[in-house]
Amino acid sequence: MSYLARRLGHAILVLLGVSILTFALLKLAPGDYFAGMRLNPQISPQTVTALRHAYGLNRSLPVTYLRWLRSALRGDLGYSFAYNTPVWPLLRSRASNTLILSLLAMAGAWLVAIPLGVWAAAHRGASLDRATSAGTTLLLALPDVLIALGLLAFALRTGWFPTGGMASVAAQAMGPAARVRDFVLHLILPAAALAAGVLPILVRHVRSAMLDVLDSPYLLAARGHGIPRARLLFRHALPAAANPLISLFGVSLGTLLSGSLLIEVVMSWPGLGPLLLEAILERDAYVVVAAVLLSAVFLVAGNFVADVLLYAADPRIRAE
Amino acid sequence: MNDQAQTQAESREPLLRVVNLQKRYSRGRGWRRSRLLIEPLRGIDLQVHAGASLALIGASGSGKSTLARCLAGIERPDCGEVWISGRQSGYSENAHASGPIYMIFQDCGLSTNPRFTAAEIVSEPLLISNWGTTRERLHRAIGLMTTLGLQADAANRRAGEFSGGQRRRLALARALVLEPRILILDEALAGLDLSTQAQMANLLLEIQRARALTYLWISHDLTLVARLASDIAVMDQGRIVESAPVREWFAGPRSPQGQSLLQAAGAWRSRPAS
Amino acid sequence: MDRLLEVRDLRVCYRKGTEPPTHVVDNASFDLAAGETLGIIGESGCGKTSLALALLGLLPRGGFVQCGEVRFKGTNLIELHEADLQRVRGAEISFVHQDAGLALNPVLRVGDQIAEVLIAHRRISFRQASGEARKILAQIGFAGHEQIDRAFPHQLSGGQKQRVAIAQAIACGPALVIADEPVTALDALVQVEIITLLKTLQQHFHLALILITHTPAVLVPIAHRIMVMYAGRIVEQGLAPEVLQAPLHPYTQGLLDSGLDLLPQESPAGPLSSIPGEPPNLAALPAGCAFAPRCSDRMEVCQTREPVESHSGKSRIVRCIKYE
Repeated sequence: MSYLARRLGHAILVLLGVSILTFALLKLAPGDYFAGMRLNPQISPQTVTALRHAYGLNRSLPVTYLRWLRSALRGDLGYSFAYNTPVWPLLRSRASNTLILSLLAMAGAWLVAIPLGVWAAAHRGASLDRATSAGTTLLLALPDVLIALGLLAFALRTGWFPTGGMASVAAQAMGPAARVRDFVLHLILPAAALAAGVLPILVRHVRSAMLDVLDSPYLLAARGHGIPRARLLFRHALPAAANPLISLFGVSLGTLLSGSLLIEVVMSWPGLGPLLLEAILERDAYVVVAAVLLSAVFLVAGNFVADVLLYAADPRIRAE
Repeated sequence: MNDQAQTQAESREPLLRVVNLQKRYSRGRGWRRSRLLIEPLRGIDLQVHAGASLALIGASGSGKSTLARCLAGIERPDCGEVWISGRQSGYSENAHASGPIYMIFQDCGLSTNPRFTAAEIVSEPLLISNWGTTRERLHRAIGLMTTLGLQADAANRRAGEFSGGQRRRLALARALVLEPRILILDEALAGLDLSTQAQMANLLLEIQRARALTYLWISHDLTLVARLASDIAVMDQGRIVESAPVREWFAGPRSPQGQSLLQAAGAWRSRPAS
Repeated sequence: MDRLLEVRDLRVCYRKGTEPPTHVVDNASFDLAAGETLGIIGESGCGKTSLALALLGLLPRGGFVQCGEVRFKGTNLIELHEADLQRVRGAEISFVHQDAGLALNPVLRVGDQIAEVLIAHRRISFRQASGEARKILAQIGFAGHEQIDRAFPHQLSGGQKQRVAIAQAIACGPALVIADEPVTALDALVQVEIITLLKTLQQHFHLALILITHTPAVLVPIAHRIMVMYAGRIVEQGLAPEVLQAPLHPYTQGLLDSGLDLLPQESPAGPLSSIPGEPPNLAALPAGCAFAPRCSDRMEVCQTREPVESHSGKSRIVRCIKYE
């Protein structure tokens, strides 16, 4: 158990570090939300100064940070200048949209990558293995944005999928079943674009981890015991190859999240991505901090889940 | 040793003297530390005279290898002293490669970097201890390799091209190049084919005669020990439970641990009676 | 005696890149009766492991059987398809590998690893298989250890791991067990335990056993017949007492001299006897007899002509020009 406790401690330290860094970078970047008002002749400099004072922007970095930290620990993440509302309600629905998108992309990517990687490893050197390798190279070479644009073009041409948003305009008028169907149709393309970005990396890792194990003496021994091929691959080899893959699982969540911010903007999915982009452009400081922190929470949670899985999967780690 | 008087003086004082050597490991962290305490050495006293050939035998986990590593200075004992020809020796990072004791491990044949040439491998300890010029080092390395039955043209071949037996010869040449007084052989012949093993054993005996070396064998192969050692020490649970000259021991070990070891070796020792 | 296994003119090759294939086993013919123990000895690289792997179609990449037959209970295993071979492996013929530490899956419990073998060959549930596995473990010397089936390999000692590997091999009641250097990695006390265990099991289940080793001494208490391999050829085979007492081939003589009878009361002081030189590179065998360069009885003809098998007595075969 001390292993997991240590991991949890690490996670909290990472979150603290991320919040400090975000604060510092925002402070170092020139200007703030009210900088734009100075150029507006209708607003007097006194008003701007008063506003900055009211919002606490004239305080020093450590003071601002500590005040923010104190309220954040009570569950208050600050106030959005641009939307003129508290940050948390604004963020909540956006975050859950991002989470749905990322988790679906993650599940999809792994569900494809594991069989494909195992299969490629089992047929090492065969033409299908080489085709997989060429396919992953191609996907790796294509920028995510291009894949997203390609999928959008595909949707427009065929008309099979809606483009943009997460519900049709007419969704309010639909029955529950139709609404779910509408939502799923909106979800598929962004999720596919997102999954396509990480898929080649996952496939390659699954393949190489499996190759290492397939060459091991215990796999030869298991083959010598007449274990059927499919069982050999998935019951004997895959668990033994799982270690590096579980670590990769944590990392892949991070990759997906940063990827999702971009995909969301391009495919207009109402997640954290578009919100964060606007907030950065407008220097809406507390929204930026909260959004970054939330992404970090996802990432850290992903890694923590990976650690728990690793602990469960490898008896040698448990024994430590 | 060209100094006669010194040699005589040393033959009275044992070359290697070990006094109450202890070593313990604890596994686990924090408060659980004391729970998993392993004591591979619980007070070893040992004397080895120059030119002797002592075999440490015992079941796996009896502490043989830990003792060897402490003697070679690779591990720091928790307590106790190691004296080599009247001088106390201590722990250091590189002790096993430069001091009067050199240790050869079981997989020594495999642990050479396959991209190094034979001459580079053999002369590397000289380079590390800043001995002589490049030409002198090469000369000494090649001379030693010839003595050990490696052809002179082998010097520029890479280690990867040598067979298992030849790689052991290389490892031995590397061990001898700094002219240590004591050679610790930790299962150094284990896993070799019998005829290669016999070839290596003969080579080691020859070298011992020629160079007045002292050997410390760690082996679980009693048939080999019988031919190579002059004395035997039986270890069990971190202690030396019995020591005797080799013939005396084989005639009748006194400790129960020794008896069961000899019995195990005897189980398939002899050919069916003719 | 009924013949369980008949191997005829087996040739095993390895292909590396575009080079012509290397024959690692050539012209191998031998028989094995039910309940018989055959010891195969030879130096490393003589082809004994390749021979064993070839019997079950388990050769690594690049390895293949070029010609020959392996008849097991009348069926030629070489011609079987992978799916049919898989039904033979573990059920009829099973394999114990060199180092049990490496041959057990590190992330599966040892009980489950035995159960896996049972599930692969019988129509039983996982629960039944686990129960069976516990029984086998108790039978094989873990009687006092209640929870042993829940252990992972890294929690066991070397000898215990080898026992588990043997349990896997006998789980389905095979007719033949092939053990490749089953005791080489173990210390002397444990070696005796394992060999004794193999002998007990062999008698109990009327197993045929092929025991591969490079230390002839291991074979003394257990082998009925012995086969000696050198450079991919079987150079001598015969009943164990005959081969051990009166080896015919100069290689067998050298091998036995460097291995047995070493306790000091019996052995002369002075150098140990050994065969000079090293085994040849299989990719570049010398002309004539492969052993000729190291042989003390070498004749001129040995360097030009390959020896053929000559029979002496009922089951004694030797491949040496001296006896032709």
